Amino acid sequence: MKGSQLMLFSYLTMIGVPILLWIISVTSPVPQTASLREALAVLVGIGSIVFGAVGMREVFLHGGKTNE
Amino acid sequence: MPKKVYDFRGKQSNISRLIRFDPEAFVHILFYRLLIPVSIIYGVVLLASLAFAGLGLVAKTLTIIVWILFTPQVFETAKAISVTGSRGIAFGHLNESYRFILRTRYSKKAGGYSLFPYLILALWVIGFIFAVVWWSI
Repeated sequence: MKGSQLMLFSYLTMIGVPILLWIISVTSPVPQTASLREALAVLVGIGSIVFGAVGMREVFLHGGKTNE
Repeated sequence: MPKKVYDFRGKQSNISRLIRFDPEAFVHILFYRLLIPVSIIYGVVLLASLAFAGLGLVAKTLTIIVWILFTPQVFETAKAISVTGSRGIAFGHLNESYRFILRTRYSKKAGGYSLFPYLILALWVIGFIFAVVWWSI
């Protein structure tokens, strides 16, 4: 059995999105970090879409396999 | 040879079969399946909210929903890191004689690994409180 290389994105976003969300959340009370939070939010946004897209392929399209 | 996707526990695609023998895995997989579509919507809304300030409240609400749905994923990811980091001694369900061999061979103890997922969960809950009270982009 060979793992899909796409799963790298799944693992990356599975760990990365929560860490970035957490950083945005705990820096929210500090007004000076507004631009940092904005930059991280862009990464979270892209990460969430990638996480959802890879998850969609993995769970609902059964990893792209059609002959199972 | 096609992969067999069912056994005495029922069809593999029927995730509710997990309730009977692994409820934690059921919660994990149920929340993951809910998270997938929500995550895509959240990503789009979050990026849009950077351009249109009016979407701020929608983004905050979705953040809270995504935060709750991500909780089992964060916990299980931390648990997986504990299992691999401790060679299965923490959360590995290994039998006593095999644990003894592992400890002797690698001088490994569960140590902080058995606490690690709970520590991460505590940090995650603290972050959630910050998000509910102060979230702003």
